[in-house]
Amino acid sequence: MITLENVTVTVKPDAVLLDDISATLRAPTTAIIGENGSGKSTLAKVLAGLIDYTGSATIHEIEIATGGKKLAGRVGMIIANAAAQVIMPTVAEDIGLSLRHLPKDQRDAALEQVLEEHDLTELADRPALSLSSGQLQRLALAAVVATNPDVLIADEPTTMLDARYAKLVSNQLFASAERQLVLITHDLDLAARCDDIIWVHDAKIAHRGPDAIQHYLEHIG
Amino acid sequence: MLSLYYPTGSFLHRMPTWLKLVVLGVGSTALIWLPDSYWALLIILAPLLGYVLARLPWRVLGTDLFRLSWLIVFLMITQLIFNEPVQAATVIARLTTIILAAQLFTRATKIQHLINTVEQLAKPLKPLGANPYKIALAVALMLSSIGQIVGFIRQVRDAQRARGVRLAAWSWVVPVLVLSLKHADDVADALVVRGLD
Repeated sequence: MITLENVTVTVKPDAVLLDDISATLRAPTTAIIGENGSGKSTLAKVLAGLIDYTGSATIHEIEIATGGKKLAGRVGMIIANAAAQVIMPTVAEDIGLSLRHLPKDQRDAALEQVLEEHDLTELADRPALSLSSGQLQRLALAAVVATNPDVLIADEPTTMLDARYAKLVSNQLFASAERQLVLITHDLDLAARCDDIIWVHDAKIAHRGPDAIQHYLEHIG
Repeated sequence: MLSLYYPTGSFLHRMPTWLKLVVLGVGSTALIWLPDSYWALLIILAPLLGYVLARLPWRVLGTDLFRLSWLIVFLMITQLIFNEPVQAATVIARLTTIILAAQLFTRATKIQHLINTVEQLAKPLKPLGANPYKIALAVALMLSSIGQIVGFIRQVRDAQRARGVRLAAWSWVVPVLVLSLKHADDVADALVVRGLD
């Protein structure tokens, strides 16, 4: 469960990126929608512990700002710039980095499974530098999902993908019933698949619930 | 994400990474004692022989030599300005040999093996508060950054060409710096979200 109480993010001197947001995210899947610059990605960064905030933000009742070590490995995030998320030289090695916590004799089998699940087997030995944006995005997702986080925050995970892989990635995002998904997206069809939808506008929650998409569409005309 | 590894299965590829590092380190250090002489240039044959022993295609050697060519020209000019020709030849021989040997090392060693070895080698530093895994990760990131920055240079130059503007030869420097800083910020975020910070 994710709880936000009066969460505010400001950038000096006076830019307010999130303004006094309070919400409890209980649903297995939550979509955050809104225009560019509305505060969606800032909210994702708060949840991933990447940005300072005032107020309280907790995951599993652990304060995000101070509970980094307790939450490490339990919260995974796919950042919007997937290329930055890939660290190792090849696809297999990058996923292998996420599996290094496993005993050595289990790593190869786990790697094969992850590669297969994400349709990356043929790209396993390809240098990450030679991958397309969409392939990098799929690799970033595979590497994060491989750590088996309780909470997955995905910031625009399908923007660079063609229709086939957008579908594959979408299905993978929704695949686990045990994992809580927070999806930041402009893809309203994808957002509609979520159990809960939050429309963020001007750094505040403008509307929440199944009709949030309708309100958002009416707003943008 | 720089990947220079070229698999051929040669004995150099199969040699333990720590041994390759030792040979590289000791060999590079030993070059300090190379006497000033035009004969010193023959030492460049040592890494070239390594390329042959590693069964690397001539194309790979050609690529690596081409990458070095600008540096050799730069060294030649600067050395000939500040040194006698025989000293310049020795300095060029030393540096070319070291860089070629280092390139050969990266051609014959998987980055993952290098990281594992660095992690093992850094373990004695643990009591001093160092984290061997983080040291190894820093090596991986350093290598990945080289490839990224080369990509940014290409991206910026392509963007400048696409806009049809003829700018000074160094006009890519500032945009590449900006892109690199932004990328560094994103990588820092990525390390946190992957639990690697």
